[in-house]
Amino acid sequence: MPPLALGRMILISAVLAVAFVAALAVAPAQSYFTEWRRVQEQYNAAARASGKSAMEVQIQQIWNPTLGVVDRCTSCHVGMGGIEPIPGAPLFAAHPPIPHDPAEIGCTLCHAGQGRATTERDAHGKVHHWFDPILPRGEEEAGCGSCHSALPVGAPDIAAEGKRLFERFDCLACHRVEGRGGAKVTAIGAPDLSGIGLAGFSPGWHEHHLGRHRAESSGPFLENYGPLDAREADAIEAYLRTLVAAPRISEGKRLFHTRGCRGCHKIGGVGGEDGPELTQVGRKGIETMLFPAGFEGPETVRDWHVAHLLSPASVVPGSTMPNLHLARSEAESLALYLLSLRRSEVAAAYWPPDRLRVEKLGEREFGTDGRTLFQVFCSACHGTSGEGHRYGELAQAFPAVANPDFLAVAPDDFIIQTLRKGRPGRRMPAWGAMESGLRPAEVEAIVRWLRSREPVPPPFEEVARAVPDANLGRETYARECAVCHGANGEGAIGPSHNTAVFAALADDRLLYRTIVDGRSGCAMPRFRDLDARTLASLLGFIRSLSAGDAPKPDLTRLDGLPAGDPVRGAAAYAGACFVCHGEAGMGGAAPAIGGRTFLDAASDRFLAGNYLMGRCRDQKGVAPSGGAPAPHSEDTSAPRAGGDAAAVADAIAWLRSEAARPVARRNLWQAGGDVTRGSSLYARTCAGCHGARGEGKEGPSLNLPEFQSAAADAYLAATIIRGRRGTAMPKFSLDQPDFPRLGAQEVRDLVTFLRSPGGTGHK
Amino acid sequence: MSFLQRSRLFRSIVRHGLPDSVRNRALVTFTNFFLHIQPVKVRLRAMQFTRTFYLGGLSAACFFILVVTGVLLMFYYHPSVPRAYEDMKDLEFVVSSGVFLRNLHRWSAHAMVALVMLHMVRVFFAGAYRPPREFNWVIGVVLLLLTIGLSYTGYLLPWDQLAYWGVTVGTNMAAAVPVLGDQIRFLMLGGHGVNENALIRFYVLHCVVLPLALTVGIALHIWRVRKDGGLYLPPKG
Repeated sequence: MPPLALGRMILISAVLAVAFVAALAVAPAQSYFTEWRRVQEQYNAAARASGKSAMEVQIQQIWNPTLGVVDRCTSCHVGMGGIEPIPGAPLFAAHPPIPHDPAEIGCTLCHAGQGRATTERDAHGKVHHWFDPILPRGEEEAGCGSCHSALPVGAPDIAAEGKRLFERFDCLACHRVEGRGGAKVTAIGAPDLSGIGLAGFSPGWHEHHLGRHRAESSGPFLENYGPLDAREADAIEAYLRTLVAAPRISEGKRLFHTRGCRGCHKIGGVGGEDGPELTQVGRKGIETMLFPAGFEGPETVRDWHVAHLLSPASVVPGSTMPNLHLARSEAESLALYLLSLRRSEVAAAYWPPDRLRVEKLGEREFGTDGRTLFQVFCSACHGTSGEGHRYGELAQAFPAVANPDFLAVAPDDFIIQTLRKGRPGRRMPAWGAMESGLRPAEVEAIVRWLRSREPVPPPFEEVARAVPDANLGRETYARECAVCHGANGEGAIGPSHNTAVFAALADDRLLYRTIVDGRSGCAMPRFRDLDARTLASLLGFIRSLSAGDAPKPDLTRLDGLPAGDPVRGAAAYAGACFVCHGEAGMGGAAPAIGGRTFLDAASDRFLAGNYLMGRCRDQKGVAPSGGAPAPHSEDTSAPRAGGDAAAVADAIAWLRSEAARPVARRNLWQAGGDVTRGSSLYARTCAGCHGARGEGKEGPSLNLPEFQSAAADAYLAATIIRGRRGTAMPKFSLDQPDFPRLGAQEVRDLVTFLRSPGGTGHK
Repeated sequence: MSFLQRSRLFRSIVRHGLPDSVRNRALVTFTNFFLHIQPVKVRLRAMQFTRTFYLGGLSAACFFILVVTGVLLMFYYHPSVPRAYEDMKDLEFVVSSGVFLRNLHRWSAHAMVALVMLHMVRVFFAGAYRPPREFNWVIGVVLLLLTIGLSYTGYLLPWDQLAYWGVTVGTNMAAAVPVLGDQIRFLMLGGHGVNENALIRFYVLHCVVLPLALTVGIALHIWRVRKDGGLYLPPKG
């Protein structure tokens, strides 16, 4: 080999060898000159200057295998990890006081970021694709939501009242809450109540205060503690439970649960299905967010949420979320709450009480009274008090479910079934336990609250005292009753009440109850908005209808009616009553008699008398079953001779026992009209608003299977007759400028058409 | 120096004198385990840089670096679902020179794939695959496949999103093979999903099976070069 070639090779080899050694030398240097080493050396310098002992320079970490936490943040934030803090310098200072020990639970559970990292950029998660960057300054509170996934919000209205009372009764004189009040805190050692909602308080606090208030001759217990009544103490307790030392989240959560956001959004599996589930929306990364051109302010996760809340469709094109017209401060509160929805999987040993109560014990973070539930789940669409709502950008108007005309005609089971099944095709989601996480008892609480929105009728005693006015009675009867009961009480959709038998059997209290409570299972709505004088006049007028009917019946047969046996009564009912009154008295060809409101109001004597004394009418084409006493007809003026009083008493006893059973029963009254006539009537009268096939236009759709299955004939008939004030639906029983007046038969025809497979109904 | 050379200990290890004669130089190559894969004589033309660009040798050097760094990495790595990613983070943040180790392994792996490919291109254009070397070309192709296999199996081990989806996509591509596709995928993953079974399978392939196969393949490859009379040299002129 020529010397030159060999020499060149040696040279190249030598250069490469030096480069290799240099590279090897740089590697340890790189792992020696680190940020945390510099910080710890600075700490040691500061410590020596202030006479503290120096720390050993090494990587510090908080290790909690139960929580799966390996946080090396304390390598730089040395003051927070068991090394003696030096106040003033941000990295050397101790953690601000919190209810938790950072040395135990670490940092990233609350603050997010990358705990294993030992460089600032990596540890703060400001590296590409790190899924959970550190929460920015000012948003630290959102970190609480990592474990505290179910902070109590209670009943917002009651809590707000409690807060007012808390301040009015001067509780802040001694107690400190969220940095306010507490001037006398040192004097008597009154506790800071900022986190009392989580820490819990003694149920006897009120008695304790009251006792001291009575015992002391001077001092804050006497001067500052005003005696509270039980309701006020309850309201204050509701307020105290919402004090969780995170006021900004609490405020956002309160807004979230009063504006009805859960109507569309689930949290922890509870809520509507229209919008995305928000259980972990706080972890939504900025890389999934699009900032529209001309976005105002910094492009941060929080600002995206604020902008989205203020105007959803301008941030997310095509969003169907309505614009709630929030104030900017409200949107900021809500955004912080959304950021706090960042539920982590943490070991059950570390679950805070709020999470345990909600996720393990099945309690609710919100109040479970109907009013609160309505606010939490329904108010975004149906309005805070059920007054309905129309958002400018949405074609659909949301119905006013607290409309008194709706509540007057809608039986509970119609509302409950609508809630459970929803109204697919419209924005109304299903509120069944499977779909929404709402429990049956909660659905019923909502219905009860809706019922409470109905007008309160005057008590019977007031009606009894009122002076009737014949003209008022006649007018009211003509307006509200004549269409069903006939102009002279001869009966049409509803039963007759112009006979002497009826007059003798029915007392005023029964009439009153039937008018104000309606008759479940029938088209008879609830007339709760009539005042005492009108009601008294109405009762007087109804009585006057039977004045000409003679002779006065002899009621002695009804005296000493035997006590019925419900077991024998089943057969008696099936033989005599079933044909007309239907299964369990839920109606059919004749009015329903199995409803609870009716049975509560009607005495055995009334029921038996109707049968025995002759009020039941023959049903054309239906032969009374053999053996049983044949129902007698209305037009026989003489009381029926036949009829076994004992069998009737048995049937009544059975009916009562059936009504007491907790089974939801459907209304079975059938309109029994003519489809063809109903069809042409519908085309003339209804199609303009409800669409030619009931598909809905300005008026709601009528052809959805869920509506058809929930709404009984009676509900449809009563709605047509009564109309709905506040909407475009007129009262068809009266003359209207644009609509024909409908009589009983026409209503029957219409309802029959609505139910028919060829009409708007479904097979 | 001559005293040292005459010592019994020295002679027990090295059985020849300084390579100052043709015989001794031949003996150096004959009697040294690490050099005996070389032909006894190498032509000067074969030593020219532009002849081979040292691509084969550099590939082998990369493999050597990969084995050394790989073994060191194995000290810190658990092939289990909860630990794999955390070990990666610990290597990055707390193991001394861990970043250097990992990057060395990573870049050597990339370099090795590139060098092996370039080596193949060079051999092709030089016509070095022609008889009697055609079977060594086949061995070379096998070595290329093993190299790519190592590169692919190593991809899953960090157990991050990139790894997970890379392997998901790759094995789904294998599943697109007609008739046997699903069975191939099952064999690759040791199951139906990218989970701990796939991780341990890829780990064993990456750290044991494929490196051993590659070592044997490289030995065979070089040994055949030697048996075929050293590097292929085109006729002069």
